[in-house]
Amino acid sequence: MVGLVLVSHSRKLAVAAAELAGQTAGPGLPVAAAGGAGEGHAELGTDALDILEAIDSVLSDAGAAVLMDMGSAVLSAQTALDLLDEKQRSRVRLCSAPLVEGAVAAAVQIRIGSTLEQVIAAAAGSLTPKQEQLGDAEPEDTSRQPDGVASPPWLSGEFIELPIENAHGLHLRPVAALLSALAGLDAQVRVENLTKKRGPVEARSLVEVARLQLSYGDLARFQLSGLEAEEAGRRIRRLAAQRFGEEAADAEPETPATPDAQSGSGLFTSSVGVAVGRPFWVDQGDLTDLVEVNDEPVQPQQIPEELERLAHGLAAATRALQDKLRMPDDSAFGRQRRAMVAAQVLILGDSYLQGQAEARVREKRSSAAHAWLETMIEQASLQEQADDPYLRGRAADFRELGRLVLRSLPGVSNAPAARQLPGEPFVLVCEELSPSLLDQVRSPRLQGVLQLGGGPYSHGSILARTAGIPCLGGARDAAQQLRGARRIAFDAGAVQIWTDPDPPTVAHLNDRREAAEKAQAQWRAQPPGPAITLDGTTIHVLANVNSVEDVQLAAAEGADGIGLLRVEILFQRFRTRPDEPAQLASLQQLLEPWGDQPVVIRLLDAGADKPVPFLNAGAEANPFLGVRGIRLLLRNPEFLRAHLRALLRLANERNLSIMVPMVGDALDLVDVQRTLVDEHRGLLEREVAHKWPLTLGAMVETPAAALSIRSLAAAADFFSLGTNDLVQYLLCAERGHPGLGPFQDGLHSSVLKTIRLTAADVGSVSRPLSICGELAADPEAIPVLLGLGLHSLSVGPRMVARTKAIVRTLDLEKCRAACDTLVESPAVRGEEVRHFIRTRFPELAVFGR
Amino acid sequence: MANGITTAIVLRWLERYAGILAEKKDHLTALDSAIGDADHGANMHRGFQAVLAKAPALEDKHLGEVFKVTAMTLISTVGGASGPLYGTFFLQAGAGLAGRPALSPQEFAASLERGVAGVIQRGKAALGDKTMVDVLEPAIAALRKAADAGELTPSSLAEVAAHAEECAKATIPLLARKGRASYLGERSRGHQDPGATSAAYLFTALAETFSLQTPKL
Repeated sequence: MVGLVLVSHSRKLAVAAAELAGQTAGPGLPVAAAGGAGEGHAELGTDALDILEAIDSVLSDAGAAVLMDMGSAVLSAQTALDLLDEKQRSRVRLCSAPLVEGAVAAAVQIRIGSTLEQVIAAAAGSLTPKQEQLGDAEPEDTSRQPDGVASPPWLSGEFIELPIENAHGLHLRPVAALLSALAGLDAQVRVENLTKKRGPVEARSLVEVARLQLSYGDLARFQLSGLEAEEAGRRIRRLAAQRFGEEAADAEPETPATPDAQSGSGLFTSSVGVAVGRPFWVDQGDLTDLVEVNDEPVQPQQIPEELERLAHGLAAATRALQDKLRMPDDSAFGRQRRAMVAAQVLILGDSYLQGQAEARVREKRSSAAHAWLETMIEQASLQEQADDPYLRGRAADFRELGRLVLRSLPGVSNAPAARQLPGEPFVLVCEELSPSLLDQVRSPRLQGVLQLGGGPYSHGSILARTAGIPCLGGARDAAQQLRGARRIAFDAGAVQIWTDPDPPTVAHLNDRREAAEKAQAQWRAQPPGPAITLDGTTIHVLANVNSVEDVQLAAAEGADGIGLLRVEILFQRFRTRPDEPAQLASLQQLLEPWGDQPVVIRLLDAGADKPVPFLNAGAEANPFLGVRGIRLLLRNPEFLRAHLRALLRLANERNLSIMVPMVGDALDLVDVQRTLVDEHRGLLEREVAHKWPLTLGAMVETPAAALSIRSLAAAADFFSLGTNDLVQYLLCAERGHPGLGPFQDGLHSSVLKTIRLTAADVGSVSRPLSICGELAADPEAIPVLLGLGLHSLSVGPRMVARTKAIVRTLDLEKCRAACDTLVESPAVRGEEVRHFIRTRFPELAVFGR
Repeated sequence: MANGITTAIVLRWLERYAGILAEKKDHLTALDSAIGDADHGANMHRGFQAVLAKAPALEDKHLGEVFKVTAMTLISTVGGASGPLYGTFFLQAGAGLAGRPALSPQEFAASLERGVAGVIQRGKAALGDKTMVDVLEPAIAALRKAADAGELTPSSLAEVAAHAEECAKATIPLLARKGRASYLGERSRGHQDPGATSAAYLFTALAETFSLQTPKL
């Protein structure tokens, strides 16, 4: 049962209110009173610790609602909330309802077993009956707190208010973006135009929401309820930050996503992997061709009949999709597939789109097929204009729905015969991989998919990645060659296609595929979940990511968190400096597949080997020893400020920390910290929701940083060893230099001594330390790192499962002993250290190197 | 960085502050009775007497602990809105200072900056709302300037304290926008804000701590 906490300046009042609520609701109500100050709480006032105890006494998994009178009661309740641990805090809600009315309304809901959301909603609405009876106030006054300590205009649980920033207001496209963002959520959302006093209406129909005429600068209110109200709120805020899918034209210097432009041939990777098989062509039919086929206008007297056909077609298509929703597949693939289908059902059911198609039938005497296809093509081309490659990818959904309804129209014979799949391993060749096509061809014999068109963010491409099916897109230039081929092969990661490959090539590709599969199978066989050493210590295995694919993979591979999110690749698509909303939107999109485990974002680490088009250090003789990382950011304060603001805001919806790259000394960190505080204040002033304080960490990748942990600790909440750079700076050997192998090995004794020193110093100032270089995934390095005291390893997303598997074979005591021996031993170079480790830990041989 | 702001200095500062509050509690209450509920002096005095009682046990503790204990004590004993607000100030000021026996002047300024940011977030007050923020923000900015110049000296801190006092006086003509005083609307003008006043004493106490301390840090 939800717990109820009542807080007043007067303890007597709080106790009496609890009594009243208890008597109204009946016995057994988990209610606690808090209030009063001083000796025996006899004086008027409030005490956060007293409130904390009251919360503790009634808090269960169902959560607790806290109602309070005013002034310091609000502040003390908020302070009490701060003192709870994060997990508890997420289950406690402060409610601005009037104390007495709210307590009674909440108590009744609690007794009938309502959820926390329902209890809060009932309390929040508890003043309405009295107001209606007395006729003296607008109902919306219930959301204002009496003493001016207003809750932020952002999400306070029940509603979100925000100004519309789209230049043309919320017209159909942004509304469509809103509806599809909410599609599939168990949440009721009502939208209201507070400025024009229109609404509220249910956020269900495009047309109805569009009728609110939310134009630029209008204040919109979203009222949220239902099980997934919180998620709905998150999505609305995210969407609003992206101006509902319409970034302002002047603020959008964006180039197409890198995959689109990856090679001159137009080929792009949808899902990595190697495939060899006979081609299996599926002709989906070009949508525009199909429109022409059905182009004949119908006779006026046929119009009612065509309208009926359209309705039948839509109903049949919807039923077909709903059947798919019942697929009992609880894999990541199944869940993802269902979410996509649910979104399609929403689009099919949209009264606006239906109205458009019907109007075409009535006014232009189009056939049902023609009207529907034209409507979908129009939507798809609107979608194609989106700046955001992900939103552009949604165009394929409209095309797929065009085909789907066409096939479902009564009397249309172009319904696809059940496809006869080849009896041997095959590669699907198609125009674009749609989810429904993938449903039809999924089979153990499907080796991979070649799309002539398609896009990296289409739902088909996303599903292929989830299912681990190799997939290439943009192969139109190779179509001619492919047509004649009896066998085709491709390596999606390397973006390479072979037609009729010779036997040695096939053998080579097959070997590569099998080796990868076999190795994978071995770690995959292990259950997901934490990596615990033989002696029972949990080692956090995190993922290094820089793309949405990495994030998906990290989630699928069971990473315990994201230990390093690199933004360089993500930001490379911006030709000029991205502003705060653009940065926020691209990061939100990147993290979309991620859950609520921790994420560490490294501030833009541009310069040297990672140039970005919009921040340039200028020509330098030694870029690696020049202006890079934080040095470059501090020289571009405006960009740094926008960057930090975007991260402060992102942290409001993500479990986020940030870390600073290329820290040279404590002043680098102090400068960042100060800028962060400034930006926090600016956001506060503008009442923009963000997280504060934000955890700030330092990368340890220069020898100087490794030697000054104690002074860095003044401004750093945690540390992360970036061994890739640390190794090259310590051993003075450029990464990738062909002649310096021994000095590029992270197991060189000098590197190990530096890590040991760092770990000891970090331990002495009680800060967490992790490692995010390639060394962290090296099977021969892992026992050493654990022995040196590291309990957190951040590795490439594909290495997560293997790293966990390795950790599970190790005993910390044995690792420590091995390190002690190593330090005393004459071993100097990495190869000697590796020999020692191989001898000591023969069980690691199966993991390769 | 050899000596810096140590636990001993911070404790002396808090003790001095408690002393000033004991002297000025009636004055604070008088200010509060004009525009509030006439409890600010008594509340603050009660809170800092409780801090004073805990100070001896903190002598050998790191700064994170000192600030945290101060914060928790204030939160649970002050009673009025200044409990969570001053509590938040010290709680945030101490965040990240676990294990630190001493701070450089710059780190000390950064710590107080975190504190005031926490107060702003908790109370949602802006500069000019006639609250303690009207003193804390500019005084800490002045402290930051002094720290950035290299070292905190009795004379630089005396300037900070004087500035804080001016800022407290400057709240007299303001219209209260937060807290109980905001109920009075226009009638809140013409009175010095009690919260801003007690905040200014923090810097008086700091300057006095230093003038009794070594001549130079």
